[in-house]
Amino acid sequence: MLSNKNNLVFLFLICFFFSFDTDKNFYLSVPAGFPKPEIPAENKLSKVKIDLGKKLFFDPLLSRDSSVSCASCHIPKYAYTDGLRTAEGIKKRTVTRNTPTLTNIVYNKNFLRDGVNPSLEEQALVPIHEKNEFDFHVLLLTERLKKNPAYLDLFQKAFGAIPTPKLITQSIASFERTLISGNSRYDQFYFQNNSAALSTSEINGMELFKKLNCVKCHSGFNFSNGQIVNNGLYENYQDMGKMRVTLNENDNGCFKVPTLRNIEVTGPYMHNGSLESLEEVIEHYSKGGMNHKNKHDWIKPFEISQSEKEDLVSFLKCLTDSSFITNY
Amino acid sequence: MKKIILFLLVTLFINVSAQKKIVLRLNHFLNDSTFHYNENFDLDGVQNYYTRLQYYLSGFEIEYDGGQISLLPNTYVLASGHITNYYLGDFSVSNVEAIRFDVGVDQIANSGNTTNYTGSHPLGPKSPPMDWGWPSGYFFVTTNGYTDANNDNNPDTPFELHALGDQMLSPIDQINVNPVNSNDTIYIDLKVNAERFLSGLNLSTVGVDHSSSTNNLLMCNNSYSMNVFESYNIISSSIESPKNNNYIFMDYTLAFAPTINYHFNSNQKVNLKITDINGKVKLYENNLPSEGSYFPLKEFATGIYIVTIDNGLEMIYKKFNVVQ
Ligand code: HEC
Ligand code: HEC
Repeated sequence: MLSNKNNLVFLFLICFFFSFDTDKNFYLSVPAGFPKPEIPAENKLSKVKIDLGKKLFFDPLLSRDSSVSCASCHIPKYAYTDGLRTAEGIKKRTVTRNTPTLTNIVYNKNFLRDGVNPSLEEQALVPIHEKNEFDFHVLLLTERLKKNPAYLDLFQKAFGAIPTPKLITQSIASFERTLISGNSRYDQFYFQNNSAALSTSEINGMELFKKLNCVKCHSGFNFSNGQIVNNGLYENYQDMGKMRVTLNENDNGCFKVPTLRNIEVTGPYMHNGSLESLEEVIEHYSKGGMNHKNKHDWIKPFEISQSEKEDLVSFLKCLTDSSFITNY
Repeated sequence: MKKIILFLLVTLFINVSAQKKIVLRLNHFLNDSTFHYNENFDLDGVQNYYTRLQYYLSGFEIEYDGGQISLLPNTYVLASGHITNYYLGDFSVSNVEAIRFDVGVDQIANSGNTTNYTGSHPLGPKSPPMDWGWPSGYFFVTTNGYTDANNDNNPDTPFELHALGDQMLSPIDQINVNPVNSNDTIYIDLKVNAERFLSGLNLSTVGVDHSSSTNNLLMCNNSYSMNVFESYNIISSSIESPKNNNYIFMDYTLAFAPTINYHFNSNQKVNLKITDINGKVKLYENNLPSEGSYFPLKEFATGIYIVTIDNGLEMIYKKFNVVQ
């Protein structure tokens, strides 16, 4: 028997969890089959914060000469990529890596192609300071925003405060957390019980995706197991991936397993955009990749027919969520 | 009953020893001469000079008033070669006997985010940066400069070591100190042998290294293995700096927003003024500390500017460029 006091505590706990839960996810619509995303307690979502983050994301004011915004590289119609081999920032300076999609970024646990950055808030500082991206400084950006009446007003509404570096990164991260994509034809087929959503060829492709080990790394609802591995792209990597930071030879050529959602529109592919098309990607995997001592065991040569290749590509293409890339 | 005794003891303690400011004075030297950027120093027979020397200290412990120990878990120092005075806090002590600390930032703070702090906090966003946005983490020690790689006595090969990663944290053994006590302040003096951070490194080949490399680990570990920090008695010391030591040294890590490093020998507050080449005042600040690194929170157009710093008695100035 619970004492009255315990009952009260219990009730209180229920209320606590209940309120926590609701306001935690209130601003995100979680698609069928997707888990509830975790939102950091110190940066809960709010409508005004998300709106402010969105305005910042699309505003070239964030770069030193006000020429590029986050959305210059993370373009919504390409599922927040740019269609370029490697990205281009301020004064047309080139970045060494290919712009990754921000699709379902709220589910990521680590950031950047090599996964070395631990939080979305912190990640937002990277392009602001990178010489080849915004080439700016967050303290100067803060001063710029403090002089801008529209931003002063928005920060006031969202935080009851003037702009600070912390609030800038919190709002941008909040907006990014809303970039959830889960209404592709695959989702309609798999999670929404619409068996007519995929063609026979696409279903064939899905089976191949499982049979050929793709699903081991590109796993789960978001087509990524979140690991940082070597998929045998090169014998000698110019970009060492995670090893750049750890200096551990076992991390040489290791990159984050990217989501494959919206893959149709996020080419060119891989950390350096070296593969132009999905056909080239399948070509790479069918050869079992290049020899590298860190290459993952699951990358093994396979033989499939031309029509099977086509099936696999058409399956990958049904991961496109047209509402995600058109409504923003 | 125990509580009452404790309470009595605590109040007693508060009554006998009034609050005092504790200031750590890091007296930086290069081969026993006063530290200067851009001035040659010898290291194992090779000439070098620094253009930047910054490092974090954390995990402070002070021993005071007959062997009592106090931990200062929230005190962080971002030290620079040209800055001597660092305020550690106000404490109820009458004398400090020893100090110990770590070079670097403790693991908890090191996994945090610069934007959790204001720009003036040692762990806040800095220019030039003291953190790397990619892997979270602070640079525990940063040394930039030039070394004489080809033996012509002219250091012209750049090196840039920025040490990163929890494993770089380097504990310094307890150092017994002889503080200078004024009415309200206790000054703890240490001698910092700044050239020793670089002991055993082949500076002509290290290049630009912002990572957890063995070179960077060696640099951090040098802080204890080579006794970078030593006790120092400012009064009885035979080492003196006869020349007038007021100076400004610009850091151009960001060409579009250089940082003004300055140093006055005397402790008076200073005024800082930036004018353009036509004498038009672009920025004015007063009541700044007598030494520091000032990052102007203002976007200047490309051009030449003059920064003037005065303390009412002395004035120094320097021309600098902004390249947008
Ligand atoms: C010049 C093009 C460019 C601009 C501008 C840019 N990014 Fe990126 N973004 C990239 C590239 C390239 C990467 C991959 C970098 C890497 O792995 O080192 C990336 C990575 C990211 C990631 C990590 C994604 C993942 O899967 O881990 C996020 C989040 C992100 N950017 C958000 C932003 C935000 C927010 C802004 C604006 C403040 C921004 N980006 C501006 C090109 C850009
Ligand atoms: C061992 C784990 C692993 C397996 C198995 C695997 N991949 Fe990958 N995949 C990766 C990694 C890691 C990357 C990113 C590599 C990089 O950035 O250079 C990647 C990248 C891709 C990309 C490009 C994504 C982008 O945004 O650039 C596609 C498409 C892809 N894989 C499809 C497949 C297919 C199809 C299969 C099965 C034939 C497969 N993968 C099997 C780990 C794997």
